[in-house]
Amino acid sequence: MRTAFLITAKDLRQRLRDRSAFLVAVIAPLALAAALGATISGFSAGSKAYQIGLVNLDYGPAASWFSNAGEGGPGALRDTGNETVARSEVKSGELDAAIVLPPGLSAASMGGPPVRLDVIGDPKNSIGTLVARSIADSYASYLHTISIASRALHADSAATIRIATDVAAAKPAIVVGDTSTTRNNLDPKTYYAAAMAVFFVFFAVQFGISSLLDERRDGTLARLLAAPIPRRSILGGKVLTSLALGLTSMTVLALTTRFALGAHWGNPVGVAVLIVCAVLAAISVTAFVTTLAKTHEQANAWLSIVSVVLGMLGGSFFPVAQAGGVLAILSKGTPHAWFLSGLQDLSSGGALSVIVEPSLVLLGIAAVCGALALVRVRKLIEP
Amino acid sequence: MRKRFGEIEAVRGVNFEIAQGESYGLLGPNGAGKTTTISIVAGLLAADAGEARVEGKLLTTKSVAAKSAIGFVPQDLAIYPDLTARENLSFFARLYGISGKRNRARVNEVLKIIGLEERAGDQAKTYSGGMKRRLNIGIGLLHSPSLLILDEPTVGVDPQSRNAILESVEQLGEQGMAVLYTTHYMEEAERLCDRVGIIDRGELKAEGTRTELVSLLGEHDKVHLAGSGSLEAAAQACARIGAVHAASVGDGSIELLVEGASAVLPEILTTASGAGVSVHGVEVEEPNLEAVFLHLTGRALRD
Repeated sequence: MRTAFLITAKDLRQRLRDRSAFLVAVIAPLALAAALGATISGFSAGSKAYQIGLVNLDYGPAASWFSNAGEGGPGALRDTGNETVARSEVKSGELDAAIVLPPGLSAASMGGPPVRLDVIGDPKNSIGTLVARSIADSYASYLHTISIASRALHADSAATIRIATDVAAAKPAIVVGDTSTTRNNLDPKTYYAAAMAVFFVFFAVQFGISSLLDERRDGTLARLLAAPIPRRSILGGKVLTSLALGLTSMTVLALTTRFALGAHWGNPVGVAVLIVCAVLAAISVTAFVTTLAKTHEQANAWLSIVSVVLGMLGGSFFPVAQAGGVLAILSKGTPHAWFLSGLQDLSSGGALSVIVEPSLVLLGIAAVCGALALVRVRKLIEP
Repeated sequence: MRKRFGEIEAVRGVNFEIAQGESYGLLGPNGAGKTTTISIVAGLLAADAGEARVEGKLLTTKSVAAKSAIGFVPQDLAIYPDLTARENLSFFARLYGISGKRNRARVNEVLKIIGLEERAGDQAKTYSGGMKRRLNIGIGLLHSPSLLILDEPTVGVDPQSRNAILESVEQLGEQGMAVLYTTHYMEEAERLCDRVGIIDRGELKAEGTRTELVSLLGEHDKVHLAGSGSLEAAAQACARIGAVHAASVGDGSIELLVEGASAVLPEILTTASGAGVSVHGVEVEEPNLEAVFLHLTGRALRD
């Protein structure tokens, strides 16, 4: 073990001296995490309240739906008084869009001649226009329901008005629950901090195992093999180098993004467990791929390809799994996806038990790839 | 020892011994099996058959104790270019169990031996080729091994550095260290090695001291007498000397094939003068290992 530590210390000194490890393990992931987090935050930070105006030219009971702030209704919209004011405010940006309730709307809902419901929108504010359009669609559907009920009952005008009023006041029989997964989602800063950390750890750990090929190329492997040390010490030293670089990289990323960028990683113990598991998985995958290569150049090329593909499938750049289908299945085969999944559950305030499954999967990947690497590693430690 | 790589049998029954303080050279052309042989002796490769022992201890790829007795200097530079000479030496010394104050002291000693004291703190990548070679050898000396294995240490080295390396190896032999030296330079083998093994195509063709190897072939010294006068008569007179096996006249010179030229040279000169030749110059050419190798293998060392 002493000689393994000696080799690790030598490797780390080399890596620190040429600054390559520092660049790959810390600087690059930190810069990308900050850039991606800031960019995505610009799109999704917080929730935006859309201001939709209302032009009520009907003044009948049908408009009461808009004043109903209870469940099933959109809540009160700001009444602009007339269409001219509404258009002006939409154009100036004070309103995102406006809905015009035409004269005769209440009569139309009671079986009268059909009228047209207009939405005033700004082409530059397509989302606001879509929100208003969605409200108008819901409202039209609501009026249509009343109209059908009225006809079915052959009710007179007074009864129809009463039905409409009751319907507007009634609580809906079916309420769609909150289907948002917001509570399990990491905020962009945390997501990309974690995503970049697990993406770049696959590059950081390469400085350990794959440096066996460097040692062979540089002739120093022969010297190590001629020394009075067991061959497993050489291998152990390289694994320790990978472990040290991987853990340092992810820990520095977690701490820096936590305190400098405001990322919320969650329970430190859980995060530490996930980091260790992810690093072990990265070392094993990297070691296995390295054993398949014959030269340093070949190993570098293959490791880069594998790291990028796994990172993309695992959601390091965007949540590929949400595309569903084959991509979702493939994503589940990557350490990245399991690490991010565990972190999402952890950061939402879940107990430590939520990381058991992702941690076990990560350790499973580490065990399988590590075993395959061990079978093949003998050829790496030959002169 | 035997070692096969697929269809190629790189080492085919090589067998030799090296005594304490002896310098043994493995002389052969590229691809003769020298590096494979010493890789087995250094514990880098496992032999398919046979065994190597150092200080009586069996040497395998896993034998830690036996490896402690060996210093290995690979053919290619085997140093960490981004570490300093001191860091390189200190790291390898620790691998051989030399730590703490002993480490510092021994590293300083070796730096002195290889003449890199002043540049000890510079990264090895800033060194000249010769300095790197010296550091490469220095690493092999760190633990004062009983047997130092040098695999063609002067390949690609400038004449000045080459001479410095050869002098260092000579000194090591004088200090009682056994040296196993591979080369395809005949002059190095003749200069450094007490005994030489001639290896070709994985087989040890012959071994012995230089004299033994030469005498094994029955080769004779060549004596060139440059002069003027009656060269033909002088050549015939010299041919009658018992140790002279052949005499011929060349362009302004007489060439003789002589057994033990140094002993009969005065008699040859007297005979030539007596036959009316004024001798201007004498050159004696002894048979060398190149000729021995050519005779044994049918090809030159640099083929």
